[in-house]
Formats: sequence, C-alpha cells, structure tokens
Amino acid sequence: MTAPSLRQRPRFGIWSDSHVAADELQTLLTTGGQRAVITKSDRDLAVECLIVLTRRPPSPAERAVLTSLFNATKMTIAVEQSDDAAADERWPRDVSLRWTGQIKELSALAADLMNLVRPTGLVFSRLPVLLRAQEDRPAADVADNRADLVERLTGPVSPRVVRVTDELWKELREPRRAQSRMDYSLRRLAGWSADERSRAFVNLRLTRSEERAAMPAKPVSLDDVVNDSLTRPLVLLLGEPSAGKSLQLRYFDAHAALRSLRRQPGAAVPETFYVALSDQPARPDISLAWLRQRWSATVDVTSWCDFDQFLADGGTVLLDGLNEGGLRSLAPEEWMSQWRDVIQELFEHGAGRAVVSCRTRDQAVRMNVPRNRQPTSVTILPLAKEEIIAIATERDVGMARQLAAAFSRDPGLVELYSSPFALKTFLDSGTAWVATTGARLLGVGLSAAIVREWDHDNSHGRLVPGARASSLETIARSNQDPWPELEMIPLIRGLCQFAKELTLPVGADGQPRPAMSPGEAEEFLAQAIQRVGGYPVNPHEALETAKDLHVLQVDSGKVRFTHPSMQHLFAAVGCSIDELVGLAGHEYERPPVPPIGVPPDEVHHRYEELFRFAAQLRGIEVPDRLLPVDPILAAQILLTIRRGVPEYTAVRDRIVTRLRADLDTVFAPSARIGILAALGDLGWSLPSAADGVPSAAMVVPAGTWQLGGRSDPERAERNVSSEVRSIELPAFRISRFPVSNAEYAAFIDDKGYEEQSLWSPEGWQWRMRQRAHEQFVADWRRRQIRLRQDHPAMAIDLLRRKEATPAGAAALVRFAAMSETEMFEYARAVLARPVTAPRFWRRKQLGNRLQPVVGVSWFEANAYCAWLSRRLGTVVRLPSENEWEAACLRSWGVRKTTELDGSPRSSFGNTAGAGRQATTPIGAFATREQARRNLAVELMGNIFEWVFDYYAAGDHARRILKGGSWRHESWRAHPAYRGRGDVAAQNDDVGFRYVITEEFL
Amino acid sequence: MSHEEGKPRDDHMRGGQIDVEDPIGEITTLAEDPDSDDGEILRKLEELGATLSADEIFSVLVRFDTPDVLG
Repeated sequence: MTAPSLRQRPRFGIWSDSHVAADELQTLLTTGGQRAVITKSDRDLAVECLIVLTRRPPSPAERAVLTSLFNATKMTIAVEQSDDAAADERWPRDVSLRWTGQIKELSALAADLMNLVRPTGLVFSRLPVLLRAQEDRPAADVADNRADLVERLTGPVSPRVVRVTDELWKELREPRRAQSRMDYSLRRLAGWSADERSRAFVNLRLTRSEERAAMPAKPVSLDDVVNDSLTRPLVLLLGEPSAGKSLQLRYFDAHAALRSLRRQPGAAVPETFYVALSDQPARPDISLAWLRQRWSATVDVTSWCDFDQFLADGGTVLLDGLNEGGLRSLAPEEWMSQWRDVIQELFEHGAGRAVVSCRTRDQAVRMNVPRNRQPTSVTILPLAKEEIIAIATERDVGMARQLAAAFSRDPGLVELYSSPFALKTFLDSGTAWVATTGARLLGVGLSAAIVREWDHDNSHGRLVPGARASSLETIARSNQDPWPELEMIPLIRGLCQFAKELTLPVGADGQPRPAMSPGEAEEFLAQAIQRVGGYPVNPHEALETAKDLHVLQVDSGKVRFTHPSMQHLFAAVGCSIDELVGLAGHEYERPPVPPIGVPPDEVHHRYEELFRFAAQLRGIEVPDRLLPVDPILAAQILLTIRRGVPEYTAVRDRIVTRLRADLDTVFAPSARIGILAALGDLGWSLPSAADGVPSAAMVVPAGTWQLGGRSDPERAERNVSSEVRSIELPAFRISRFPVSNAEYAAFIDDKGYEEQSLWSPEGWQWRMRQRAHEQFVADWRRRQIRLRQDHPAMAIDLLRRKEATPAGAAALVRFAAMSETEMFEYARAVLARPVTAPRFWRRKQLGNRLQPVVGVSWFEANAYCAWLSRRLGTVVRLPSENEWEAACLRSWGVRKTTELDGSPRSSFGNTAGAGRQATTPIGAFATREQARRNLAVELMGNIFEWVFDYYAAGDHARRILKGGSWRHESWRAHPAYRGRGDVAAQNDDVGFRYVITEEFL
Repeated sequence: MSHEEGKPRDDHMRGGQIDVEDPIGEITTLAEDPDSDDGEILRKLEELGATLSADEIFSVLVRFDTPDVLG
C-alpha cells in the first residue's frame, strides 16, 4: 500500500439532503475541472474528499452513514446551515463551512472547496489517527488489543480514525521500549497521533536541488524521493528556517511505521529510525555508539533486534537537524564533518538510506557520503499562493477570502506568508490582523521568528539575545504589542538604520539611496549594530541572521526587505518624531510627481505608509506634530489611529480648525479637493439648509434674467440649449450646494425610502420595482406555455436521454404546474429588491461625505425634497429650468447668459478634460467671490442636476438635466445647455439641489 | 444519476449499511429501462418536484432555458 500519489487529482464525493443542491454542486465542481460524484452511502466509495452539504441536521441513521463515510475518506468537509447541533447530534468532520441554503451560494462554495483541496493533491494528507475512545462508544467500534488494531489499520482501505480503548492507548504511549517490530510501529503511530503538530500537517512540495536553477520540475514528496531507485543513499532535506523540515521527517517516519505494519508476511521491509540531533548532550557525543544508545532507549534489543541488525537489514536512518550544533562547544564545520563520518559508518554497517535535514545556508561541509558520492538534495519549496489559501481556508473561510483578495491586490504579500511557521503565526493572530500589513501584525511575525530561532538553539550569537527572546515569548502569550521590546534589540535597531538608508531622501534631488549589494549591506548593518550594541559584529552573520528572520533577502544580487511594507515599517521604527516632521516638511516643499493615471491634483504622499506605521507605533503625537507642516497628511494619518485613544478628539478638532482656515484662504481647486476630502473623512459637514442654516441657501432676488440659447455656428450638434428668452422671476432661495452624501444619508437614516407618503404614486411603484416583477413573471409564463405544449413528454424524454438529471426533470414537471402567484412570490422575494439607497452608494470613489450624492433617480430627488419640506416646515422642491439658469447667472454675478460666453468662468468646473474619474468634493471649485458673498457654487461641472421640467412637452418619462458633469466635455457645463435623463435613471454623474420657496417660519 | 465506482467493500469497516430512501436512484432506474411506464416516471417526478423550493426550481431551469425546450 503506497502513499497516496500527490499528482492525482482528488475525487470529491457529495452527500446531501437536497438533490438539487448536490446536483448543482457536482456540476460546478466538474465545470471547474474537478472530479465529483454524488453518494448516498458508504458502499463502493472511492473518493478522497467528502463534502456533506445539508440544510437540516442529519437523522441518527444518516449520522451513522456519515461516520462510516468519514472513516473511508481522507478528508471530510461539512457544509451546514447552522452550528447549533446538540452534542449527541455531532458527527465527525475535518472542516466545517457554513451556507445559507440558497442555491446561488454554491458557486462561491465550490470555489472555496477547490481552494481548500489543491488540484495537485490534498494539502492535508492524513495518516490514520489513533483516538482514545470515549466510554459510551459501542464496543464493536473500538480496538482493545494490538491484533485488532493492526487488522483495522491494514484493511484494503486506510481508515481515517481508529478508536482504541483507554487501556490500549496508555500502553502504547507509556515511556518504555518497543518489544517487537509491530510494537515499534504502533508506538510511532501513536506518537504521531498524540503530537498536536500533526493536526496541522501539510504535505509540502519538494524539488530536487540540481533542477532549481533551471525550470523546476514537478514538485515531489519525500516518499517519492526516497523510494526512487535513482536516488542516492544519502538524501539531504534542505529548506529555509521554519520551512517544515522536522515535520516532514516525522511524517515520513510515521508513514514508514504504517507501511511496516502493512507489509506482506515474510517480506523484507527495512525499518526506519528517527533521531533528533538536538537531543545531543552539551558536550557532543558524535558517534555510532550514541546512535546505538538512542536505539536501545527506544527498542528492547533483547526481545526484538539491535541497532546493528537494524542497519544490516538495510534500515533507513532519519537525522533531524544537522545544523543544530548550536550552543555546543564545536564549530559548525567540525560538528558536520564528524556527523558525516558517522553517516559513512552507518552505510558501512549496511544502512540502506539516510535522510538528513539541514538549513540550506548552513551546509558548512560537503556531505559526500558514502564513498565520496554526492548526496541527493531536495529542498522544501516555500508555500505557494494556492497552498497558503488552502491552509487558511481550513482555518477560517472568511480569513482565506481576505487573504486571496489581498494577494490579488499585492502579489508581493505571498512572500510574507510563504513559510508554514509564519503563516501559522499570522493565522493564529486572528482575522482582524491577517491580510493587512499593520505594524502590529508584522511585529508579531518578527517576534515569533526570533523566539523560534532562540528556541531552536540556532547560533546567532549575541544577535538574538536570549533574554529578549524570552520576554518576547511572554509578550506574545499575553497578546501585547511586541514593538517596545523589539526596539531594544541591537539587530532590530541596526535594521532600522538600514531601512532608513534605503527609504529616506538624500541630497538635493530627493531620491533615496538605491539598493545595496550584499557586501555593502553586511558592512552597513554590522556597523549599525555595533554602534548600538557596543560589541563587534560579524558582517556576514548579521546579514544571514536577518535573512533567517525573513526580514531581508537577496534578489538579483541586491539586498532588499522581504516586502516594501517591511522596509517602511523598520524605517518608521527608526525615525524619531522630529525626523518624521522633517521628512513631511521636505515632501511638502517638493513638487509632487503623481503616479501614472492619477489626476495631477490628487494629494499623494510618497511616504504615506511610513507615516501610517509611525502613527500605529507612536500614537496620536504623530498627526499632532505633523499638523503644522502638512494638515492633510495629518488628517490621513489620524484616521489610521483608533478613535478611542485619549486626545483623539482634541487632535481631530485642531486639524479640522486648521483645514477650515485653509479653506477660507486657498482657492486653487487642486488644493481645495485635498482639503475638502480630508475634512469629509474627519466627519466635518458643509453648512446645510436642511439644518436650518440660512447661509446655506442663496437668495436670488426678484428680477429679469436673459436666459438660454447659445448657438454654436460651427458645431451644429452642440445646439442643445434652452431657448433664448427674457424671464421675470420672483425672489427665491436655492441651496448653495448640491445635496451631499452626508445630507442624503440623513434621509436614508430617517427611513425616507420606507415612507410612502414622501413619494409620488409612480415613484413608489418604481421604488418597489413592481415593473421588474411583472416583467419576470411575463417572461417565465411565456416559457411555461411553451413547455406545456410538449408536457410531460418533453421532461421524460430529456430524462431518458440523460440530458436531464432526475432533479432537473422534476423541476421541469413542477414548473409546468406552477401558478402565477407562485412566480410573483418568488420574484418579489428574490429579484430586484425594492430600492433602498442610491446606486453607487457604496462606491468608494464617490463616497466621501462631502461629495455630492449621485445615482439618484428623479423620483428619489423628489422624495428627498418632500422629506426636507416636512423637516423644515416649508415647501422644498426641485428648481425649474428657469430658476436653475437664473441661479447659475447669479452665482457668477451676471444677469445675462451672454456675459458668460467666452470667459474663462464658462468652463470652470470638474469636467471631462481634467481626467478625474469621479466627482470632486462640493466646494472644490468655489471662487473667493462665491465664498465671500454666500453665492451658490458649482452649478457648472461636477454633476448634472435634476430640474422638474419635462424635456419634451407631455413626455413625463424624461426630465431636463442641467450643468454638465465630470463625465462630459466642458462645453456642456454652461447655463443654457439642456441635457435630459429618464426619470428612472440612476447615473453616477447626476444629483440635485433644491429650492426653498417660502420664507422660514 | 449517481456514478458510483470501485470495488465492493468488505466488512472490515464498522458502521452499517443503512437503508436510505433513494428517489433519485429509483427514477434513474426507471429511466434507464426502455420498457418502463411513462406514467410511473411522471408520478415519481411529481413527488420529487413537490419537495423542491422555488429557488431550486428556477436555478435548475436556467440550464434548460434554450429555444428547443422553453422557447
């Protein structure tokens, strides 16, 4: 019985209490390239991965089936609607996922399942686990003696779980020597089961080292390598620190134990013996005698066989940790040479194979044994993206999806998670931290790596001080911030200096120093550490230690941090607040060079991440100190700090005051956009007529206005203006600003969408999507009529021809009999739910509080006005086209439209030419004059605004839009331009403002 | 519709063979028998159809939404 081949795609088995759901899931998996079958019982089951998809808790009979299915497969995933099953209703599974029972959710579920179970093989390979049985289990289910246990383990299908009595378990686990071959194997299997790390075992991929430089061949397992006839007697298992070498060896050992149990009687299968070299005493005893001693401690040589016999039979020796000479009194080269000699001796005594694990960079000597032959080296590959997601999915699906999204935004993040140990640390720290590059998260990872290095006695000398590592361990356990402790370590401080060197601008041209070669980096680092620590430092060791901690790496001959965020973080740790303020000032003076694709006036900070980290590390002082230098940066940084900290409100208020003052003096639109966006983020609002603020409305005095008509003799298509006319209007008030997101949010919060009396009958019908329901029912009735013409012959025929599954045919039959009422019910429940917010309400680029609300239909604009009327106790409505045009002229201080023609004011606003991909905050294009005299702003550009006039006489399905928008060319941003929109349309460049027709009461 | 393959299991594995109602299996068997009664198939399909929710029905119908079936 060989180990499961990693190259085979696993077969999924689906068990479900809903035929349609099982059907659908099977189709989805098969379409996704997987093999999947539907199963109802444990007869003839040959699948690797069982999915149990249920809507209700299984009955006792079903639970019994599921338990035996669990035993027969390698992995069982339960997908349930709720997790409130009582204790006696539970049945065994490896992973639990949730669903709401809706068919449409199955495609996301199928994707999660495919993530979880890698196409190249199960990530989580399982050996049978020996479980101590509970008292209440039926006796037939539990092995109470060795013969029985072996029988269960060696059946034709390998079980997942074998229950053993308490007595048998204790016997297998008690510290004594193995009495026989069977005993030896059983004890190792029990040891593997008992080790909690085996639960998280991941079958990692290896690659042969000679192939690494060229195209790496298909990854292999350790089993494949050792069993390959071309493999040399000595196998070196290499990898980075915490890549999982020890666990691989121990898994191999446990697997060999199982193989030994399964061998045919009389067949000569060499045994395997695992030894951890870290068990060596402080004064090393590197000799065959010591190995013999280890063997004798494990096996009773009088009843079974001694070490020499084991070797003579061609046994395999597993030596774990060739690099763990550590704190012992030998130099690494000496340690390894001596072990090389011992391994040579092992082969001379008949050993068939030796597998030795070692850190890649620690290979101090050539291990050319036996007889000067080069060993076969295999290297554990770092985790690939799919593996990371699979491991995370098993832990928590939500976390895994976040990670997957983070990886697609930033592929470099994979590097941070690519060691199993680092991944586990990050996953353990919880969903809130994972998939972010927060200072805390990276600190936790670094701290864990340091503790691990110290734990493993790896020789870093004084670079990793034991006392600090010990404190870090305590800190980790109490879930505190590790940075204050980390900052005390000279190595970390040295790395901070290194980061600053690579990050901060130097010289007049304001560019940081380019990357360093390994030689330069070593020297720099060593000197930096020396300055802090006061002791001499070996440059090479310094760099290697930094690499072991996954902080630095060498890439194309240059030394860099494993991730840019890591570099910014170390730089932030290393900068004092004064330096940060200086940097901010320096950047403020520098003419900005924005990244490609961003409009030139978006505020962009080159070192934003660095400041953010500094704020996370040092708190509220950072934005407070940055405020005098760059208030917008201070605002952005403040937002990354938790609100609850003391002083938060005070600092926030200071920033708002400063920004408000700037708003009164700065009138360049590009600058105002940044200021307003920051103010919006900080929760500031424009004055609003909705709050009864008089200065929020502009008075348009009574008088005569020359409106309309600008004909363009050269461009006939641009003759879309209102007619030239002279209009007399009474005085009225119009809001100075279009309705903002913040103001519209008040309408939503006040249940504006649910209050029918605020809506016209037609508007309400639109809001309830009645038309969409009717359309749906009409469409499907048509289909039903067609189906009935050939019913039931059509359905049966499809079934017989296997073009429909039984569930599919049943659905057709049911549909043929469905009533219209049922169809309406379905449409109402599921389709096009009533409108409850503007379209694009959640789109970030349009969502700042101070941006105008967009995606509102004419109906919604009117409902808002009706709502506001009630609140203010006056009449509030959309303006007429005349009023709108008059207001526009008024806001520019003129009375005739012609006065605006040809002036630069006529196309001053956020229009298509500026290259922005969204609305700007309200007031970005306000002029000094408009601010001073409380005139309306931005009637031209930014958004089209609804007025209440019909576009064409009698056509009440279309209304006029005025003013031009960010999507359209500037010639449409003209008071006379007449656009139009369908009343139901919700476009991302259409909003509105309102008129207040009576005086305030 | 279930494609179950593999060798018959021996009775090493504990955990019984429980009789579970299998309408899918029954319908499949009938459909594969060219001499089976259409009326009987229809009856079983109706029984099965009655257990389906509207959500399931419409999800499945999407697969048959072609001119030759649903027009």
